[in-house]
Amino acid sequence: MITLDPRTKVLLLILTAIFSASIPNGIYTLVWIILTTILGIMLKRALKTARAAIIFAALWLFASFILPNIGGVLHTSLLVWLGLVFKCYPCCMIAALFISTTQIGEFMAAMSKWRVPRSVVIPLAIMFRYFPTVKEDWGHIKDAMTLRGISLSPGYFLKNPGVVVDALYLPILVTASNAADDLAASAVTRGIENPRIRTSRLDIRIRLIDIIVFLIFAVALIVGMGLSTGGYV
Amino acid sequence: MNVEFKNVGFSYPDTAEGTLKDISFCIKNGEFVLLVGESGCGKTTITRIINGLIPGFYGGKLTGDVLIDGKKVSDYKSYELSNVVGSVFQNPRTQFFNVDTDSEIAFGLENAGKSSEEINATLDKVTEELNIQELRNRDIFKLSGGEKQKIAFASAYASNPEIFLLDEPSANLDTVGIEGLKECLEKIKNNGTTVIIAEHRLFYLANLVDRVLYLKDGVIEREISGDEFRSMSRATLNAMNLRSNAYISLNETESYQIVDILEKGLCIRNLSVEYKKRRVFESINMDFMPGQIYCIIGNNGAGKSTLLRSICGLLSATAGDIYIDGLRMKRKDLQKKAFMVMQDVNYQLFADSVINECILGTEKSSSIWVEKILDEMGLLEYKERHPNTLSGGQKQRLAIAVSLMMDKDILLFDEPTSGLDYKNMHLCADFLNMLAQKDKVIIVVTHDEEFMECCCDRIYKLN
Repeated sequence: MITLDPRTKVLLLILTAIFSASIPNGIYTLVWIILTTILGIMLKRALKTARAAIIFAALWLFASFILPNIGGVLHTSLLVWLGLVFKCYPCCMIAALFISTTQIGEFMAAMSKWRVPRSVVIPLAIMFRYFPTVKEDWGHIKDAMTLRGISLSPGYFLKNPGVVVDALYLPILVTASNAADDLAASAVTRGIENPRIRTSRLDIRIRLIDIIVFLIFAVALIVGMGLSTGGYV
Repeated sequence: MNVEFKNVGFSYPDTAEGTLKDISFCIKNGEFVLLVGESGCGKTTITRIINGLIPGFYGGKLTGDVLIDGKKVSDYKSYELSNVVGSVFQNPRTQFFNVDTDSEIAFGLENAGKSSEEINATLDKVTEELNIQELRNRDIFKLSGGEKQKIAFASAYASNPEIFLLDEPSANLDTVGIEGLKECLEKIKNNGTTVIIAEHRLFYLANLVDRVLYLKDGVIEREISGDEFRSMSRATLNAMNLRSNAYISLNETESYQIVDILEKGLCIRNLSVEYKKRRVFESINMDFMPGQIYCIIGNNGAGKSTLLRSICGLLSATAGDIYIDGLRMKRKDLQKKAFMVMQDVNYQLFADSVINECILGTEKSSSIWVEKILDEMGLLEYKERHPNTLSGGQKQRLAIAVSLMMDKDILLFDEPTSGLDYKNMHLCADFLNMLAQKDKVIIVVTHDEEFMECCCDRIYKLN
């Protein structure tokens, strides 16, 4: 089992983005997902990574073996939808892995080592912090909507689209902006504006394993770019 | 360190609340000073001036001089001030930056660029001194409010500040949480740290304070010594719109006999609920009659919120039944009959004006009816305002108005008085009484003994 420097994870994310943007061929996506899955297991996120990989595998098998036998409009729309999913899947998967295995302080200290300005790092760090909050907020808002007789069902939405949209975005906006204010105030009183290089209680440095993992992904990308002939699945 | 205010005046850019007018006082090194007064009297403003959030973060116009150890606050950079002044805020949910406890406690030290050995040594020392070893390396989202507040306290404590500022730290805490907070405060008082605390709930501070500053409309109306404060009667305090300086203990609930299903009102029979595969409570029996105010108490994790959510039909029961007016209710029926005013009422306000909030999603919306309800709730003059510009108490009443518009008979309240001052707490009690007179079934989950004393007819305790 390994731990990686947050900087390595940022690089992996960038490699994955380049991969998704430049290589359209499905079989390579499969290889990339396998690599990410192995990485996820090594980073001690075995269960969630495996689940994501299985979902991908199911979609991929569907696209390879069942989709060609479907005809008409359904074929086209599924093709387009799956194409989009396959494009985003590697990035989403590695981003989820990144967020779930990196502590905010660790991330900020690592970015500080790269001399990334605080004006860039702090908003990113707040985004990190916001993800788990969304789940909590969402539960409350869903409750509030039910109490008001507002339903998320397609039928209700078609009849009252405005009501549903208001009921979703206003509470999210208000509670998120209140929370952001409080959070920023508390961060300022704890010296977040200090211009010194931020440290971390965790020992952050690029180790051999960081270099190895990076090289594996980089080589996979280069080989993929060389071999890719285009096509879909 | 001394803190000195010389003829300090302040006003926020967009509101008249929290204004200060020509305030002067001096707080000596090691003193424990309590700031009290109604909401909007300016006590939070004072704490924000000392930790530099005013004018740096909140803006506004600040006049006069504020000195910390003879040096002007405005001459300190925000991060220099953070080594001198530690702050703890009201809402435990929104003041942590990290998602795990260790990183949160270390946050200030990491910002200051300390080495990782030093940070880890301090982390061990802090958690030992505050006796929170069991909170090490935990997911903050899974902590109770009281535990979160301890982490916030520890995070400020880790930077070893000479001045500690707390702004209504007990607002969202239960009795156990407040007890924990009090222990932390005793600790820093004994260390000789200067403590400045703005609070509405006073009972837990009575034995700690050296001096009380009573603010009214932005001026210090009265300075009260610690001994004088401790000897003040409740009547005197209440006349100043302050809460009690002593803990109000309530009589434990007499055991209740469950008889037949009530013809009128809400009955819970043998209710068990599982949530996330955990049995939250088992075989609960309770009766709620219309026209009375029922309070449900119990420690964190006893299942109070789960019970409220089951009564609203937001959760399904694993076993048992809920009856309204003698009829067994399904989940969907409960959703139609019951309404909950949430602790953070911002989640349930959806519209762009008070009046639109009332008519949103309701069929019966004659304007006379809406205005009558708004008038009853004391909101008619604000009908064109955006709900988000209302005060906390007004937002709560707007949610109540919505429930009246929807003709709900069962009204549930989750911690309606958290963060309310004496006056607003009483106002809240008055409105609940008014709703009770309309023959609504009223159920309140609360930790606020003072509030229960002034309006509760019957207490149920969840274990």
